[in-house]
Amino acid sequence: MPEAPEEEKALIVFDYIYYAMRGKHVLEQAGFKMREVAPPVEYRTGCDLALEISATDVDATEAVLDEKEVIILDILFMPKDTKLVPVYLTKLIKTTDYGDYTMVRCGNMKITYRKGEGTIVNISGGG
Amino acid sequence: MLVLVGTIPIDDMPLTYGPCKYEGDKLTIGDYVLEDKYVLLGTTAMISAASAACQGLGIDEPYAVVIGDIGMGEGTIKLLDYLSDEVAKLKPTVLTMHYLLPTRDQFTRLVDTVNNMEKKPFFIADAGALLNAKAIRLSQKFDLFTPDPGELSFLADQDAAHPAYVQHFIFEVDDTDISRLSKEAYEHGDTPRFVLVKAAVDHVVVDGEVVGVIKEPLIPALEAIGGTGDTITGIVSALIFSGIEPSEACIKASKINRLMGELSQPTPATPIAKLVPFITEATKKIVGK
Repeated sequence: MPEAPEEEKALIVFDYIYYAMRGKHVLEQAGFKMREVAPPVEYRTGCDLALEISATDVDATEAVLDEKEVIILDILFMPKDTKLVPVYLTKLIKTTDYGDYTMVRCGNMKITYRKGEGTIVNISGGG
Repeated sequence: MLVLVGTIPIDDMPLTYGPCKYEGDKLTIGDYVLEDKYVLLGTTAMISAASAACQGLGIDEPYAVVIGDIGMGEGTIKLLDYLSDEVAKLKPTVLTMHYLLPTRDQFTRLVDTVNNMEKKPFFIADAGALLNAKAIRLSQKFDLFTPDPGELSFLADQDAAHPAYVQHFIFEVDDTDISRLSKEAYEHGDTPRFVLVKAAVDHVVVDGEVVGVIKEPLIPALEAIGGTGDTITGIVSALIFSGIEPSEACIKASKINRLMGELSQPTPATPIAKLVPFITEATKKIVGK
């Protein structure tokens, strides 16, 4: 059975990680489907997170981002079959038991809380 | 001169520079006095630790160049521009870069300026500066990185464009992994000559090969305490500034950081502010002053 033709994609790129993360949040809230990807090298300005969306959603997503004051660097229409490197948010979470405390580690970040009350007592690894 | 550079998350903090001194409840940089939580927060934890170590070594206090930046990068750009213009006049013998927002042009300009100095300082990076150096492929313009295992996994992933997105995180911190990843990172040009990996077991790496492993004293609570990576960077900066050979300085810095933990008897809830006051004593004991 032939594969369905690949949908045309567009890429929203940002100057700052703050806007990339906020952009993802507001577009998710608005119901858009997207994928986090590494932008093409020529568009890396320090923020190495871009959002890949359907090309048909460009106008609507731009309107949402504008309304929510999320500043973007550009929106790029990607040639068909462009292969961007997907970025893998760490899926694994590990916990360490310290008796009265539990440390939860995800990638670089470690958050330690007091058992029972859940109060965060230390945060480490923000780099 | 030991020059320490980084941003501090205070919105309105101007570009501030001058000799710095840690005195327990405050950190003075030039005429600017930081108090309370700002004495030991990221860059200031590194600076306070370096100052405390210098006091233990009986050498000149460090000089710091800092600015406020709450994550938008504007402070970082001003800081790097200032330093690029002034670093030749400051004539640091050791220059340590710490928390910065990602930038390319200004960071590259500073790195090039430092590398073209008549007498290049020993050039150290940790935290944002380390990540930025790797991301724009300038790691080997530095002399020492002080990563934790998460940062090492970013350095070792040649294709990773962002530290949150790497092929492998070291969840079970393992000697073999640290050795292998350090070697791989060095071979593809993503670490400098010296690397001090701070983990449950610390590793000192020279030219991609592990030359020192420090396990004792083992204080499990240290892993949970935010700032213990920052302190080791400040301590090793002070030791190298004092004239100790870099790989030996890395080994001693690891021991001092661990002894700081042992002397302070921390729990996982202990803040870094309760540990740093022990650095001066730990430095004297390890270095033999």
